[in-house]
Amino acid sequence: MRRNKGKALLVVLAVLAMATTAFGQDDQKLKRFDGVTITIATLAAGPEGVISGPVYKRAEEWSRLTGGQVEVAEIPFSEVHTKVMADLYTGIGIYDGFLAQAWFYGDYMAGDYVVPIDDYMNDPGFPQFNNNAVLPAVANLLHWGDQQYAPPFDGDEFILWYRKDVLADPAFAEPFRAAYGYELPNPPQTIDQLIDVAAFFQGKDWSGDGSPDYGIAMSLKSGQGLAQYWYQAIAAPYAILPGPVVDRYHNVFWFDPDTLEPLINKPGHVRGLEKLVELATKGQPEAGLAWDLGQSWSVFLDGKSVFALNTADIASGAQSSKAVKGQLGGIPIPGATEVYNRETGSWETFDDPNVVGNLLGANWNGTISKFSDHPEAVYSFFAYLATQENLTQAAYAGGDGIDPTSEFQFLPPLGNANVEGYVKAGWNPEDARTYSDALYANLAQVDTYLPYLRTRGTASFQNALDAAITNVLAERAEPQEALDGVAEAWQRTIDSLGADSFKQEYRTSIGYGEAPKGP
Amino acid sequence: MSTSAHPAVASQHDRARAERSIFRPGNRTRAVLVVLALLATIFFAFPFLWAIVTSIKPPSESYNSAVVPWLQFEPTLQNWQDELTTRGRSISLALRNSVVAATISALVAVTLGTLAGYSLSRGVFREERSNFLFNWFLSQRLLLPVVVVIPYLLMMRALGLVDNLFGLILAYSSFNLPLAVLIMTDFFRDFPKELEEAALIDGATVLGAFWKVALPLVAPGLIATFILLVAFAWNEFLFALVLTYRSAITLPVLIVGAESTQGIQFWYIAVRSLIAMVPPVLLVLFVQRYLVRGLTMGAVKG
Repeated sequence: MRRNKGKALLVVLAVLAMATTAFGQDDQKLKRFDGVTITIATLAAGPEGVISGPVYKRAEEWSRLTGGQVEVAEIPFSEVHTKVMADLYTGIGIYDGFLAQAWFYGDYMAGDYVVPIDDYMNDPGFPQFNNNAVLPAVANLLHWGDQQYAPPFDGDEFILWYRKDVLADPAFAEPFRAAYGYELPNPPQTIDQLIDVAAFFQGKDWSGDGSPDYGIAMSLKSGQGLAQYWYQAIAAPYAILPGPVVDRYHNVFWFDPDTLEPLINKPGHVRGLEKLVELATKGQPEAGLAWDLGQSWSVFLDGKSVFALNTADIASGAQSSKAVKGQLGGIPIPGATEVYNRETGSWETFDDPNVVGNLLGANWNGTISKFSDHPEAVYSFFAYLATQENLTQAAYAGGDGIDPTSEFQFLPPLGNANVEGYVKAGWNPEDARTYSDALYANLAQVDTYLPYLRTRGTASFQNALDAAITNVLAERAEPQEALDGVAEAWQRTIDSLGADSFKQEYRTSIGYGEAPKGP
Repeated sequence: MSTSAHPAVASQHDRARAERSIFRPGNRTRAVLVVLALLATIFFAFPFLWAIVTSIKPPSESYNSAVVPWLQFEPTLQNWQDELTTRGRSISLALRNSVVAATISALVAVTLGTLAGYSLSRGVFREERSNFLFNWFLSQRLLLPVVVVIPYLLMMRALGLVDNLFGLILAYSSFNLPLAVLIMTDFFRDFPKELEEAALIDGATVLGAFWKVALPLVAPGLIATFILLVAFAWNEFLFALVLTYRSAITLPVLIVGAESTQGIQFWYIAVRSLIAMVPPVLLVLFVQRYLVRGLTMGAVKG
């Protein structure tokens, strides 16, 4: 009996010892970065601002878990690219990681300045995130070729937001029908319908506040580099021919992947610019051409415009708006029933509008500098930001500027987030549903995507395009003439970058030869 | 009988009224000058007015042209509250960094510049070498800062001075030193050497003559130069942006940082700008008489 009791005690002690050792091992695995400090460059918005707010918050938690320290280096929005590239070009390596805009991933990834994370993802010693749940459109953005360079964090996109109550108001149905000869679409399904509806409401006092209101709010202000994003959103349906594979004529927007000929001045692209001008001149007041991003937000959130063609973040902004909260509608950017086919040199007609998904907006995801002395610590931190729990909370919070990237962040039946989480964060439940459905539809329920321009020199290409668009909007140039100039400027940029290497990186960035996965 | 009815007084009155009449040629000129001065005041004061009004406007009203609180918009202190609570630490850090970097770099530049200016103006070097040095300093002022900002970054990195206030002070001092040399050389040239030569004859050393005779004469100019260099360093953005990222950021960088993914937050820019205006305004109020004397020194020769 005593021997049995002794044996039992030994077994219990052994089990306890093993459990303690295992726990201790987990602790040792987690606490791998004692004494390590990493510097992460991100947006200058402060400890409670958009993008940087979650970084500060999670930095504290990560520090408690791992012993490492995170120094957050805040950079003004318009200077992020300059500072990051100065660091990378010179090899100084001040920053260990960048939570920066995906616009410049071409420079980072094609320039071989950032570290792939595939090996780290397979290591169970790091915080685990659900990479399989990342929507293909976002996953594509995080990859270069076969390698992944960033865990998911933010999936911003351009959506057509609108006032459900205004479009559903029966008082406008008959006047619209009389003016345009068809039923008021609720919501518009094509760019042409959007132009008609925006023009219909432009200048009318539809809000009843005693002053004229507007049709649509866009940010087309000259010199801010943003007008070209609105152009891309409007032009893509006319210019991107869907198809099963990304090839020379299908699912491409920027350059001919075989000849590198800039496509920006082809008929589909020109039609897109003409439609943007029409939408801007008929759907906005003249002063709208000078609206910057904040102003375009303000116009919609103050209840002065029916539509806002804007980033996903505006939905969370709407939760503080008396005029819009509870009345928010949202759909992917309307499509076009005619798409230019460069192969045949003619326009193809579609019965169902050609709707093109996008990831316009900044898309802030974390990449690791190849000059960092602590790439594992940086990966650990970015992976921590991307855990299922943290990403879910980020989507609920809304005002932190972080938009969904993965299925679990969307509401059922698309994912397994829950409305209560949104409501607890201050959302109207119907607006939360609108937000979830619109973003998911744009990312996962379209046939083709507007590919991100992810090559070296992206900033140069964008600047030339933006300047041309503002010239057209200011009536200093015709669309064809302006885009011809852009094509010439782009050709010069390609020549300076080296056509052969540029072709390779462009084909890699768009997934040439593969099924269209996303931007 | 009232005095105003007295013929003598009445004619004095009429003469006085005629003196003040706007139709009098001299008064017309004065009226025009007053109007121009008012317009100039409005032009230069408008940014301050805009900043004050925008800082107390609700963000949604930042884009309209309302300027009169309570009559045209409902003022709020929410923007100030937001900034001072959530960004208070960053603001006070940037304010401290700007004050320290601007004043110390200006002190360093003015000290070295005064010594160099004295040497150049007093013929320590042969004339052609003196002129060469003067022109070389002048050429530094023509150099675009953006040309050298990356080399500075590389140097500071090598010295371990990136995001370091001392590094920023070094950069500002080096960039402002040529201006200090040029200005102080000119100030010293305006005073005859004979005063120092007299002191030397009386047994003073060269340094003594500089310290006790030359320097007091150019004191107003020295203060004016110091203030000018503080102003340059205070407003400097490019070097602060590239050489700092956290501990040593200055107010210009912080102000530009009020741009987020939702656009430029003009209400926060207004708050930060007003805070940034306070130290230079206080400095100028404190030393304004020296500023005027210093800037006009040498204007009248003989």
